[in-house]
Amino acid sequence: MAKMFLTGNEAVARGAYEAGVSVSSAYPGTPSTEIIESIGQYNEIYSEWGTNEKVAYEVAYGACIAGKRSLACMKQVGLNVAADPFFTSVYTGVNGGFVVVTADEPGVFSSQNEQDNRNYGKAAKCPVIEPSDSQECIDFIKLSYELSEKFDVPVLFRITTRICHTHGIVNTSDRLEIPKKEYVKDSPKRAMIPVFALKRHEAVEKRLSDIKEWSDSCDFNTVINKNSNIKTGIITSGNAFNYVMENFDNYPIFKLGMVYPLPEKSLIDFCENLDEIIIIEENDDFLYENIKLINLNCNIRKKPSEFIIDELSIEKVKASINSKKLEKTEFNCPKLPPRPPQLCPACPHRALFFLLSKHKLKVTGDIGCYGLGVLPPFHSMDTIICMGASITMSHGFALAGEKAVGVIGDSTFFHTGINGIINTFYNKGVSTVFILDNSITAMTGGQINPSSNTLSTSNVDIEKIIKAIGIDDVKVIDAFNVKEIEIEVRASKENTGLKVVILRQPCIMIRKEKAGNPRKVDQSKCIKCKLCLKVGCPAITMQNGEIRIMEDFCLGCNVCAQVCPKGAIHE
Amino acid sequence: MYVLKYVQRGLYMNKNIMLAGVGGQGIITASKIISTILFLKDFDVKKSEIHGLSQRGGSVTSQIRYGKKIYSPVVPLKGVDFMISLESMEVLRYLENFSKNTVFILNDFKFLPITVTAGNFEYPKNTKDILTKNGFKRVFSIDAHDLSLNKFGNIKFANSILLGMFSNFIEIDIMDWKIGFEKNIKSKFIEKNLLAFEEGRKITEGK
Repeated sequence: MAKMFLTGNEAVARGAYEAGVSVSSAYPGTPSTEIIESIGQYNEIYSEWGTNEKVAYEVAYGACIAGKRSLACMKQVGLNVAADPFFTSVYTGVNGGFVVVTADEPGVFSSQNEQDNRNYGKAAKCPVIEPSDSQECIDFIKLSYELSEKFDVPVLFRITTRICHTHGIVNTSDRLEIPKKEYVKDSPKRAMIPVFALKRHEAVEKRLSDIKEWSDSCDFNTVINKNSNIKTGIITSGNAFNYVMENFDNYPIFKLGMVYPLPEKSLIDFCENLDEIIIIEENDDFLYENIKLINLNCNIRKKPSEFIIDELSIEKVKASINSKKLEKTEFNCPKLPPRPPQLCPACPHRALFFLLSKHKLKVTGDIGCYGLGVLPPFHSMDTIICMGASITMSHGFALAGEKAVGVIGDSTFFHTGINGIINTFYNKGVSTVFILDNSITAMTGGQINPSSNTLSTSNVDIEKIIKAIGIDDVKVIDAFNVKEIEIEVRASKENTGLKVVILRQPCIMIRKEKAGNPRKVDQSKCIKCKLCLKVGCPAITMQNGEIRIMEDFCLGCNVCAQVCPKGAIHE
Repeated sequence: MYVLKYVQRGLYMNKNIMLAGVGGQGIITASKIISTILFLKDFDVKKSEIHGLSQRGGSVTSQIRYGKKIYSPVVPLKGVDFMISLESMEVLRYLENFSKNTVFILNDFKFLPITVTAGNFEYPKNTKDILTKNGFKRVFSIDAHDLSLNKFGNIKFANSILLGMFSNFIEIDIMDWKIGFEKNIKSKFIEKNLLAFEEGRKITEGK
């Protein structure tokens, strides 16, 4: 047993290793990305980046049905994409154990919504496991595979940002070698035509009640201070448990590691001598809504409704339990300048956003670094909904008499954008779509996708795909060429068909050398019009009334020089 | 099901360290160096930070908590014992986390955000004054970028100077700091970083 210092994500990977998992797949997404990255260190586990979460889910699930323990990982909104196979795989069960990790984001640090995926577990009738720290990530993953195989069911493993990205101390063990299970064809169980599906629904309901009964004796749940004299009990789970323990560790506490289905008998037993219980959970009142359905002989309280929004804190938990308001201290401090995240120096997205902003076009956007196009100085994205929605919504805008250009990245194009572009083409839609091809999945830290060039994967050429669909109006432009991009941006206003413009330059994370020499400002020519500041480059600043380019930061993409009306920026 | 009878209370004596700065400044490496040492010293340790969007040049923090038993990965309000700010005004975003006893190690280097360079906001004039005005008096500040540039010809050693300044306030041997650096920094940079660390140590010696 070696002691290690691991994040929750690294611990999930470690748990999968120790549990004898053989196959894993995921689509990158904060806060889940590091799970598969960390699995990469274990030669015993095959891992791949799928093109989207549904694909990743099905690949891993295929390996499970064929007989091996397998794992699929995604962020909370990723499960929306994988919801289709998820729901039905609960009907069709497992062969080798199967766990799907959902990494939820209370606080929405890097997502488009704050959905609480425990609800998915209930909707799909699938058990939901929720660890509180890195050690439990290891232990619960291993227990989850036992649960999965014992009850012939996929397991939904819910972690949250603070669990994913917190390092904690863990004890590790050796890998359990799990032999491949024999594959035996069983179509009535796995080929869901209606007549079989109805039969399987019966099995799902029976199984759920079996798991519920078993949950009263399972190792996921813990009772603390059962014999305390305090008559208020706390029911909690996940990271909320940690906040509870900061100030209320002498209270009777029921810590749920399995949040669905609930251990009814144990909860009734826990409440036997209590006057009231308070339920402390992050985001939705999921536990509260379900515990209310149990006939507990005591008063049940929950956190104030406003705490459904945003992550919990030690202070919010204290306020909830003590029924007090949050205290706020006032400080004597000037209003601080916000520091929004920015596109990197020499980011290939910069020129396009500068131009979209300049020409005031309507832009249906997508998920990725180019989401920063919403922020100053660009303010040039009208919508960001989900992966792939840029292309489809641009088509929809045109149908309603508004022209909007769609902006999407390479990884997002392969994720779900590709379906949308086929749809626009075959329905004869009107749209200009800019595909920002930087050959990497950038926002999540640089994971490969079909546009990447690696020795272990095959490259897929976006231009060839677009042409193969039948779209003739395709252009490939250097993403740093302001003039040529501007021609296309202008042309989009008059466009009457479907046009695809691919802007190509590698992300700076995979650039082997600088795009060019650092640029300088010729102060004698500079008229301080500040147009160069509108390209939003971190290397350009205005200090003491002078525009300066920080040599250490500039990577020589030359976009600012092309924007300067006086030719004051040069090598 | 596990049943734990009672947990022992009031024995934790936990300490909280917070680092703040701008994405890309090396905050994660700095906080890794500290947490690696605490881990090796057999404390219970949790280190928490937010990845993703904010790393693209936005405001970032890392929080380290250590002691006998750590639950919350996030520091309670007014709970920061040591605040290390890699940039000047960034420290001011977290005032509610400080108490009168908080020790501040402040890099008085201004990294102008786009909202300032675009002329929409004014950068706060004097960070140390604002801290003092609000009753936070144990502030040790220096322009570590400037010092790093003058002493080592490069701004890259600023964080090690700040860690050196911090080292006088925490009971960790020099030898352990060395191990922390060795485990988290490429070997060819260790020597210079340790020199920068020593430089910082001199600044707060005996304070």
